[in-house]
Amino acid sequence: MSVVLAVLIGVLAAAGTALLLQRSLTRIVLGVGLLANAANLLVLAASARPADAPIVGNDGRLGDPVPQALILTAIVIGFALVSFLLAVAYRAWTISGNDQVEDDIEDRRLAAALRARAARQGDAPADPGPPARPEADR
Amino acid sequence: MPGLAVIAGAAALSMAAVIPTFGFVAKEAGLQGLLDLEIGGWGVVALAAFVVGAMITVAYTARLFDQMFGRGAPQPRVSMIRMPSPIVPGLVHRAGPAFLAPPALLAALSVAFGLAAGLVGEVIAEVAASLDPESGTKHLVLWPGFEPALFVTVASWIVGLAVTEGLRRRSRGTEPRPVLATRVYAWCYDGVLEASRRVTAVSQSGSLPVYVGVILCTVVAAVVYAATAGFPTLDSLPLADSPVQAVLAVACGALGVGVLTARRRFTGALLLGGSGYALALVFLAHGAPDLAITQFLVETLVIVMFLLVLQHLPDGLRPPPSWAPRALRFGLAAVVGISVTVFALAVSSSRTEPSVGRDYIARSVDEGGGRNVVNVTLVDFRGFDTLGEITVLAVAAIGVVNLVGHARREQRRKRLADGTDDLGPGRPTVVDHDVGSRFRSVILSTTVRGIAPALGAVALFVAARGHNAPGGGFAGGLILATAIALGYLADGRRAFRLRPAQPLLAVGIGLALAVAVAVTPLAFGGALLESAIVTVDVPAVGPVKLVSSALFDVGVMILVAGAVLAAMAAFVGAGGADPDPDPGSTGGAVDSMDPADAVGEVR
Amino acid sequence: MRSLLPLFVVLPLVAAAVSVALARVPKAQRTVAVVTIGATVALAVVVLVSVDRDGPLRMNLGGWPGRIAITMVADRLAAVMLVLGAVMLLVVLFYALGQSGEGARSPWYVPAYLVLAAGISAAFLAGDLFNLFVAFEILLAASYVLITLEGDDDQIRAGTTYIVINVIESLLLFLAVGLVFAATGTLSMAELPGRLAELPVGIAVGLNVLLLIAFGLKAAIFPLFSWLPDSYPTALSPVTAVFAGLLTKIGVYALIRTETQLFPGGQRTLLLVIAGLTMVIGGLGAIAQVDMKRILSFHIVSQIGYMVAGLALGGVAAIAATVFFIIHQIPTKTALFLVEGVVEQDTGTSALDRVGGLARRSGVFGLLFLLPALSLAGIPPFSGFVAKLGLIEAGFGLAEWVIVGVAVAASLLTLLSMVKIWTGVFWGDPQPHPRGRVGVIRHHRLMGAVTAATVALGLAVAVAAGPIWRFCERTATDLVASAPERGGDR
Repeated sequence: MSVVLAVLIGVLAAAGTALLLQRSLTRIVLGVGLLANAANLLVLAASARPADAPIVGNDGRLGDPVPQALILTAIVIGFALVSFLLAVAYRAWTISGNDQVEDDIEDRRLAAALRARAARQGDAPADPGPPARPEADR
Repeated sequence: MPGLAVIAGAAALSMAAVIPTFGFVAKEAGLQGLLDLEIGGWGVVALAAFVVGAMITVAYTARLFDQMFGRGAPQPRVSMIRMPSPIVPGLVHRAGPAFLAPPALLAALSVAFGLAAGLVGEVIAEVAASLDPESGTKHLVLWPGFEPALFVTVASWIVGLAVTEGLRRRSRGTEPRPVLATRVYAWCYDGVLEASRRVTAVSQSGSLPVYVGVILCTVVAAVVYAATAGFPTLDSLPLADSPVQAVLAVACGALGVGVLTARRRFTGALLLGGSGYALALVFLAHGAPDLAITQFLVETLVIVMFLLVLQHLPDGLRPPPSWAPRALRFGLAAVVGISVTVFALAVSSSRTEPSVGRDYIARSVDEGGGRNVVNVTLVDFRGFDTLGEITVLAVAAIGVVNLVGHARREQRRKRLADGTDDLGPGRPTVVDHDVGSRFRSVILSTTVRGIAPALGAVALFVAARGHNAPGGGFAGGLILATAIALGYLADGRRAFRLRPAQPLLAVGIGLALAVAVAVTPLAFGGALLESAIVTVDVPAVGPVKLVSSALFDVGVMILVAGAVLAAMAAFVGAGGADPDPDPGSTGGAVDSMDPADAVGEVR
Repeated sequence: MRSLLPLFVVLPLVAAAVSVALARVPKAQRTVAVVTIGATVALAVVVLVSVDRDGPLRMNLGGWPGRIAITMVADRLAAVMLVLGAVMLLVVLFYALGQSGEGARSPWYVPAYLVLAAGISAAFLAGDLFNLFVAFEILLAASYVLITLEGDDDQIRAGTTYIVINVIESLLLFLAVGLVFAATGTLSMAELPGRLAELPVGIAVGLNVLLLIAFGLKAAIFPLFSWLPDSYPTALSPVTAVFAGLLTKIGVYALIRTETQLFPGGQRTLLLVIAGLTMVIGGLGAIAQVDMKRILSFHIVSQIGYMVAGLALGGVAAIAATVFFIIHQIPTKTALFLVEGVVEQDTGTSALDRVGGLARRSGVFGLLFLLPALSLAGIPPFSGFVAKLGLIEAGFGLAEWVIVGVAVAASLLTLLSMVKIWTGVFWGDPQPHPRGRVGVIRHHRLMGAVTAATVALGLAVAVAAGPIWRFCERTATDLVASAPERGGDR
């Protein structure tokens, strides 16, 4: 693996991760796309050095066909998942008018109850937890 | 209630291990067993616990019986956590025989088992032997003789009774107050409840970004943990394998970071596609043309899907969330990127043995029937993976059709409720909205009409040559889908009259074909996906080698084309702004294969 | 006999393809599904008997020699999982057919369900690490469709969590498998142990932990479990039942393979800590909930801790306990969720404060909940007691007192939360119900009968505990013996 490829993997993985840590489903899908690309490149680069295409009859050293086959499978699966996630995003939009991933209602309710009780008793909870609502949507 | 008293008495005696009940036999046997053991540290503890337990049992049984059937509860009673309401004598009525029978039977059994201890013992010994073959065959007896165990048991009776009496005297005349054990219990109970609330509030934040963050932190921790166990030292790495690679990598990385900064969905999708194209070229430079082709096609389709969906969604992306400081998110992202890279570098330099890929290359032409080893791998060596992969694609297409169908139905319901679609679904809308736009795009549509069949031919060509050169069923299927979609688009977007469920039929056919090719060898005693090579003499062309796995690839192609078309048709047909797009069809709905939908329309 | 192995994947796939074509004919669709899954049950039993008597079955796909081909392998563990998986899929299918509601009538339920069945079988039979990844993708993709089948507000919100988390799991698994190949040059699970043992320690540990994270996410172990109680409860009851009964156990199955075959005894201490935390935090989570479905979902997490504990303790006795735990858990857990489904179908809710007195309206129904509930809490003489006893004995044998104590404490937590359901849903006065129905079983004959059959299956595990336990010991002996000795981290 060359330094350039290693850095590229790191950059793609970091950018994908940053997108993944957000609430907009569109951003999450974009992040998944970047991470999938990073993972594919990583597996290819870590398994085999650049070589000639593994087609019998090519001159020179033929590359390893196995990682290529694995990554091909992964690309297709990734495509399927991204398409499906887009459908989820679309459906979310038709329901709520945006594609934000909301917090779980039940969890929020329990956390709110705990906070309310703590407030009644006059001591703030040790861990306030994440905010009950995400950022203002509209 | 004398009957009840007798039943309760018998059961109580058994509990307290009074001769001749089964409780006595059992306890006696247990004691004997413990006394027989070598008295080590744990043996003494166990024995002590056993004896104390026996005493307490006697005590509480006696107390229970005494208070219920004997002298009654001492006044005032010891309060429990929740004081049961006192029994009003008039309300107590005699229990019927059916009510008394089960406890009576059980009580009788406890006495009868005691009397027939020897017989019962044999059964138990058999069960014990089946659970633990080394358990001794101890026989249960009613009268053990004057052994130490007997004295211990008798002592436990006496102490237990004494404790009962003592407690009774002591509780007389004292204020009701929670017994220590009760308070401990209450304290524990409340503690558990409190702990459960607090722990759950932390562990179940309910927030997806937090969950994702936790997973990513775990991954980073794993790499650090592994690193402490010692990574091999890295050989010196080349800066880049080739200048081209360096240029492409910079482009790919820059576009990738660009996605992060995009403020509009549309821009984000295009940048992701651009980054993917650059990556396809990186693959090509790495000696993976098949990967490059697939990556290129998939990246194109992802952009198309994004565009189809994004035409419905508001274009602007909201600013990133405020749930965590920006620095924290980017910090975590950077750490993930670094640790993944470091681990990948460490792994890549620790290969000890050659890849199995060498065998694939060696066998590809003679036994696989193709020169393109990657394609032979996909349809033959590792054809089962491909079968799985297309299954994923198929089921994802089903999911897309299902979800978009739900969205469509809901919007139609809304429109009906609003009265904006009072003609109802399924009937022709008044004017063909498309006339104007169709005129305007006449040049485009003519061009596309010419391109689409050509593309179709290209698709077949790519699929057919896949066994010997870059290409194959998957790439062919994607191109075919594009060609068909273009053919529809040539008539304007409105006229994309494909029902999503129709291409799904192609998905089913493709899957069935691929599976059929895969299982045929099983019928001849072969293995799943075993391929056969048949040489056919075609007149004027000469001998042509046909490989059965090529047929598998045809199934792949049909399925891929169907799945992509289904998704595209769903997304194109979706959309709140669109009035019902398919006036001509009988069912009316684009996804009218859905019976739930049909039901909705009858209504 | 070995030719049967591919059928477990191929039959459901063909049936899925056919059922897509039959989308307009729900009855035909259902018949196809019942016949197919019924056939896999029969095949699975045949394979189990054969494997137990004559040893593992192995098929090299494509007819290639072992080190080249993708192999399908059925050893005792895989065979018993196949049987359990097929039986549960069949049971829940019948249950879904008996259920009324829009989701169950969706034309895509049967195709997705059949693909799920194919994926589950493929995962159990995988003898190739990458093929295991593909099998996971199949069953996950199908589960995405199933969890969003109705596509309503709740399902989309919870489904998004489920899908995003599992997509991340897929990425990690692909990464881990790809790196395993990069390090060893092979994917065959028969060849991998030897080659992995030759790797530098840090690399082996890293690959091992990456696989643990990927599979652990699916199994919902600490600290990767939070997504599960948020997402499972929103799906259709038959979907939740099959997810709860089977999917997490597939994660555990993969963990067993990883820790006994690929990296024997690799990360025991780490796993032991994780197991204890999973048990306790899952149990505490259950107590904090006020909804039957959510309580049961937290129990899934807690029980996974027990299975991981057996795996972490290692050795024949402990791994046998883990296998027994899985055999006990799959029907018991499924039964509880089926009961919950009937409650929800009948009353329209599973919130504890909005249901009540169901036991008074139908004693039989109360019993159907009580039996598996007591079993799950580890009360004798039910199968859960035997499972926990086996685990605790193994812990005693290895002098791991802490985990034994934690296991006992956590089972008290389970009992406590079961009491919460009992008092909330079954005890007390019947609440007025929005749908105004009375009597539970009478209105849902098929659902009731299926639930009863599942409960009976759970009881059968207790009745046949002796033979099953001995089978588990044979299974564990295979797993422990198949592993070449290797210096672990202890």
